[in-house]
Amino acid sequence: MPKNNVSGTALYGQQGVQMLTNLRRAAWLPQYDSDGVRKVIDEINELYRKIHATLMAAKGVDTSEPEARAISCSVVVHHNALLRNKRILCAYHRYRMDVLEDNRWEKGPLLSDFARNKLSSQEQLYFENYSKLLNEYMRDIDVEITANLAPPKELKQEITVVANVGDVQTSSGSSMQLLRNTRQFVNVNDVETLLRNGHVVKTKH
Amino acid sequence: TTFFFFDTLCSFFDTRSSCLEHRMNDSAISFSTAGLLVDESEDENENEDEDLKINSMEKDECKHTAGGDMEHKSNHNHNHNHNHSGNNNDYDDDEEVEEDEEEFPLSDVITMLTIAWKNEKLAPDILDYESEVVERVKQAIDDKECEIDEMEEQLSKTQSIENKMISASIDWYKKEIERIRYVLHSYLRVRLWKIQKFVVHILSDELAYNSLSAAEQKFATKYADLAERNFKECFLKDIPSKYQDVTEPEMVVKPNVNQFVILKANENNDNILIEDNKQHVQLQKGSIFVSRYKNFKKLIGGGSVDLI
Repeated sequence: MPKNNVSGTALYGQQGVQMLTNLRRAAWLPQYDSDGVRKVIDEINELYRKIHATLMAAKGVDTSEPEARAISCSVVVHHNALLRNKRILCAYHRYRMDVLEDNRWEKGPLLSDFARNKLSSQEQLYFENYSKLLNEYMRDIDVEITANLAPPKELKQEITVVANVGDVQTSSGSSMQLLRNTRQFVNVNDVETLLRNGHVVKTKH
Repeated sequence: TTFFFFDTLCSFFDTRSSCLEHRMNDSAISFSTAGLLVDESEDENENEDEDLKINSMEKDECKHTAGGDMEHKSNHNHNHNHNHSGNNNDYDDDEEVEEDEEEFPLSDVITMLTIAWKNEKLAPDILDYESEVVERVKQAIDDKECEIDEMEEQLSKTQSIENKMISASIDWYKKEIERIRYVLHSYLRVRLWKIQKFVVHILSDELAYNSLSAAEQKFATKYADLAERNFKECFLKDIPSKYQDVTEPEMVVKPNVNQFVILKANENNDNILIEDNKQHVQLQKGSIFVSRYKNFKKLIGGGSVDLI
């Protein structure tokens, strides 16, 4: 929202900055602000039109005249405002992409419904493609690097199952049943993703 | 002594496990397991000849009787007791030594991996990919896991007093594997995150691009593509074509090579030129100093200086 006591060129970029502050205020990510993005894009296009118009009108003007200074000043200001808006958009999208990548590492290749609501369809596509790319890399080097995210503490851990998980394959081939409200003594790396997701917790004594 | 070894490792990891790995925002961790592993290898070297002979005999027999306080076993078992993981490493050693005398013993390779991991974590730039080290370690982990499976099978078949020893040592082997695996994964992860962060810079800089492995290079190009496509779809296609470039020099995120780092010298080195060849510095082995990363980047690659 443009402030009332600010006018003229200081209005450029206000919308963008508003979007960025919203990013910081949200707990994880705010809803993808497609309106805001649209407004900033419109502002960019408007600035471009102004530059274009100025340059068109200035054809034939000699650069040594004082008029030329005024013209180049206007062009420079519009150009920099345009670049700023572009940077704002880049930063907005880049930040959201970074958060999505973090999500992939922490929680695995599936998005929770809560997360899905906050993303645009493009971003969901990005998440899937990033996940695919990561899996491809892991297949190439034959090492599953999304496992073992923390330094190993103990080999086995007693866990309490919070959500109904069902059957889980262990690394030694056998499968174990994880039913809600049961406790089991398991190898940590078998249940690592479940621990991260919160489906399973370490038993407190 | 085996208990001592694992107690110290356990307590080491207890103090460190509170910092969950989170991208590059880790505080620098001073790491001493490398020291412990190196100590291991010193013990090994003393008994290497013995192990060579005895190991080749034991290859035919059932060899996985774990160490214990069983006096009727030979010295070989005594070595098992003190160098349980090291001895099996020796075992791998022998096979390697027969083929190619120049390969490093396994515990050295693990130390090298640990040092590479430490350097990678603390350097602002991406360092050269240590492909032989990674390959060896992967191989060793696979081999060791096969051995453990065999041991577990044997455990279920025979019924003897040795079973307790075997199951205890299986536990230790597993723990050791987990730790080594963690270091390996972390090394690859840190590199990947650096690539993601500096992708445009890496793709444009020849030197940086060459320090990546082939798989990493593929990842880097695809990742840059993916990111650019996302930008394009979201907003770039809607703005004037002259402004659609996101790879302008001022927009590229570059690693901060002017960052100050703490270094430790591994060799005596005289007359190092730093600060754009304006100053001379003498390095003594074991000395610790602080400097801009840029000055010592080449030396880190060569191994004569380590980050701590």
